[in-house]
Amino acid sequence: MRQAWKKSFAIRVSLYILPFVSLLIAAILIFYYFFSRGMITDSAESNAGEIAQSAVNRIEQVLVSVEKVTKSEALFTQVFTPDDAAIRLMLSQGIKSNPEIFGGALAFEPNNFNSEQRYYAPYAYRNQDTIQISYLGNENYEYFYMDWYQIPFTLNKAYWTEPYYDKGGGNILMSSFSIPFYKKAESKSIAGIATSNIALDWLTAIVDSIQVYETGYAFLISRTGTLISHPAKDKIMHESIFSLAKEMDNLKLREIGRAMINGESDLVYIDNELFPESWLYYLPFPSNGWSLGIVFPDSELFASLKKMNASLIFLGLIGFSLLCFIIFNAARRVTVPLRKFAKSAREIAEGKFDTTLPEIKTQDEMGQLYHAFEYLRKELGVYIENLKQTTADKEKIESELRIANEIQMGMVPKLFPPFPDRNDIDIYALLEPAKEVGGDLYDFFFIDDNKLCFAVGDVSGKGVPAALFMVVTRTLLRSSAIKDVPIAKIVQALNDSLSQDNEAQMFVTFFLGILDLETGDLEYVNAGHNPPVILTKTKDPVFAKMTGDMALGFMENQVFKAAKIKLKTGDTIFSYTDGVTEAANHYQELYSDERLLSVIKVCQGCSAREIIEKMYQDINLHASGAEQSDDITMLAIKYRGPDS
Amino acid sequence: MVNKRKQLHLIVFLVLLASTAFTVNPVFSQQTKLTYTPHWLPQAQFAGFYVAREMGFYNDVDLDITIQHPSPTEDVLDLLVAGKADIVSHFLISAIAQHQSGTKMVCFGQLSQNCAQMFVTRKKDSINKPEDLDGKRIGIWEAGFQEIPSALIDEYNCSVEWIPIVSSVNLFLMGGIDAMTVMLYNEYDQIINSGINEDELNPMLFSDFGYNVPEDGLYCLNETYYKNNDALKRFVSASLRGWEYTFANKEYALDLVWKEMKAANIPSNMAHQQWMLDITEKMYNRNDKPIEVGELLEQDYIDAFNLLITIGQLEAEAKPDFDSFYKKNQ
Repeated sequence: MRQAWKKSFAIRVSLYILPFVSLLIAAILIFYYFFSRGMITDSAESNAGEIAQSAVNRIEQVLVSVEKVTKSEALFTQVFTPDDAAIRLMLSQGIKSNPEIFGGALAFEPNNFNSEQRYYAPYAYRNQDTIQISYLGNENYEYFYMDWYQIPFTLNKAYWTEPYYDKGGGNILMSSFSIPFYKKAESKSIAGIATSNIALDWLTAIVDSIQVYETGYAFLISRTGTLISHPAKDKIMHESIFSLAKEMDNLKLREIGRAMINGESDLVYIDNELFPESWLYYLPFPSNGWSLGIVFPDSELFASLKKMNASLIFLGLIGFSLLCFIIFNAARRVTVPLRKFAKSAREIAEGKFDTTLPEIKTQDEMGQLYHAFEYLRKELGVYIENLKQTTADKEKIESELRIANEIQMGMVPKLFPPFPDRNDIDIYALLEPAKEVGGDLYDFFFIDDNKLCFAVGDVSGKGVPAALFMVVTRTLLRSSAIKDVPIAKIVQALNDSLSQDNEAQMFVTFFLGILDLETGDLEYVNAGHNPPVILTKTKDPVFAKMTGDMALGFMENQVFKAAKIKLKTGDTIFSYTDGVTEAANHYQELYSDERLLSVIKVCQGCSAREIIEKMYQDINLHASGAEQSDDITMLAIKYRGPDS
Repeated sequence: MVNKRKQLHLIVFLVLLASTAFTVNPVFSQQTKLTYTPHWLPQAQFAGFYVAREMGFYNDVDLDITIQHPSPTEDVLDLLVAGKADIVSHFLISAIAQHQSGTKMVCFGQLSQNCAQMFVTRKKDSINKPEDLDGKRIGIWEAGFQEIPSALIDEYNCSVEWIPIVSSVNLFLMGGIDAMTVMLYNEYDQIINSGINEDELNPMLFSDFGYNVPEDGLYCLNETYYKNNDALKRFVSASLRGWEYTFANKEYALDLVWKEMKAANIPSNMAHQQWMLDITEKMYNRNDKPIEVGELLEQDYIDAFNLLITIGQLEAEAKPDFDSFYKKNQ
């Protein structure tokens, strides 16, 4: 199984692509989630803001109208100093024409309205469908010390009281707007307080009617954080946002409460017993410093997002699975021709050049591969066909060369001893061509009864041309070496014949000797050939002196000089070609003249065959398996003397 | 099935019969009816009395106690003199002043042993010590309790404008006054529960300035005392039992307080009442005073008496008379 994915290109491609795709999908989902969350939060803030603002505006409208009525009454009292009847009428009218006002009073400073009257505070209020008047103030109700009076009085400015339960007004939640009015003459001295109170049931109804999402709701707190409206009715007027924060030991809620009563507006996330995992938007009332809070659960705010996210994840998974399937199949489809190509290649390798290649009609890489394969198949067919032909030709040539070699080898004397009936001479020779046919030659034959003519040559180049040149040389030698013709003339004639029409510019180094077996005189011409070694019984082997002649085949009419030495009985002349001295080992180190001499040196007393065998053995030792690069030819002639 | 049901009915009937025969019906008992008027509106400060009533501690000692709170502008000592209350609770110092003014009344129980009164100012106004109050406007309860603040202000030679307050801290919250006389267990916490942080306030506890005058004590007219001497003793012990139970079962006590306040339409909440009960418990601590629970230490009486002389509420030649002021609950 672990290896399976390595074997399938489709799986590998899928494995390369899919992690990246999954990351991409995850990244997009995450980005989308947070982006949407931000958008939803912004939109919730703006929605909640609009709802809150609209509620605040509705409530403010009423509060402002109450303020206006009260201010008018204060101003009227200040300007016209009305008597009791006028005041009663004014208060009654104020209530009658302003349905939102429950009651109104003009409360005077002690003994201010009437120097004999400590308390004067006519109060008009609704009683069912009628408007009744009563007078506030007695020993048990020192209205001067009531918030609705004392605070605007002390602050010398208008004031909305904290909400309170009014026992006289049906025990409903009320709040009063109070404003000082001044003595006519000296306007800075407060004469009393004009006040109007309103029931807050309509206000809490507005707040209670606000519904945000499914369970979201609104609540209202006063300037001191007291809950005026809240779905938990038992908390109203009892708890403040701060006492709740204290009960829950929640400092954050306290800080939010402070922001609310400070007239700030914001959307905040809260999580406590009262507002579990919720968002709270709050907005202040400009008139009285109260604050409206709108609460909605986080789960409902992001319900749609969560739903959509679930769908997106679901769709993403489906999409991912589809993508897996598609990528896998696409990769498989793309690689179908490859698999067919692999099969075809195997068949072609097996020699079925007529195999059918998968049909590709596209012009893409697969098309190129198809064309390349098609070309390969055709070329390979042609090549193999050519190869077959060439191989057949080569085999034919090789067979012919083998025959040529046999012919060539047949030309040199190979039967030893060559002259079994003669004891005065011991001859042995070896020709080991580097290729099938070589350019080396050796020959020996008697010109007359006592004169042995022998030759060693090395044709420039190798192979068939060299072999042919060798054959020509050998044939010409046989025809040129005629009795009583001086050896230099023989070589000269040979050279002239070879030089004629020698367009191939071939040449042959050539050593020719004529040994008089009666006298031991050896006459020789060395045409550019390696000097043979003369091995005597008494002295170290030496190279025969060069005659300073050029190799044969260069030019006609060349004059050759002959040299003469005398061999004693038992002396040996060892001729060879440069294949011996230049035989190389793996390190390209040559066999060398010195080594040749040192081997020959120990061959005193050896027969011609032994000398050549030792030499050959030592050459092989030196080469130690390195390929033979040139023909190796050796010819040893041991003079045994006329008396043998 | 029918038989079984009949049997059950019979058993229930017999049990009911037996219980009627052996239980004393309250209607026929000789209970002493007394009206107790605490010196302020319903709150945890009086939790022990509600508990004693609800737990039947008063019933247990044949008392029928009506707890009647005053209105915010009523002085309970006036109610006492007027015979509208048999028993009232009040601050020691106000009671001494009343006693010295000739009211034939006695203290027959002292609950609080410490002074919870204090000034509170806003830090931003830089009123950090009593001297800084010179020339300032200080809110003070219209219903009384101004003796110790006056003594303190006199001691520091300050000239202040006293602004009478009925019941709320709103004037202070609105910045209408520079300082306010408050109770540690009540208004101080109300201010904090109105959104002002404690670190924005400067509390000046009178006890920190040498005025640790005990507060809540139980009072009645001499006439009542001699007439119902035994009943009053029972009232003190049952009330102390109520307080003991209260401090041991605050949650239960707070529930009663809550009901009491709700009935009177007084806005409050558990956090505040809890705070008040905790502070009240501290105030009831006798420290090292050589007295039993519910008793008044003579030296506390003398110190309070002298304080009244200092502020000129009593004449310099006035002599303390502990024995006529306090009757030990024996």
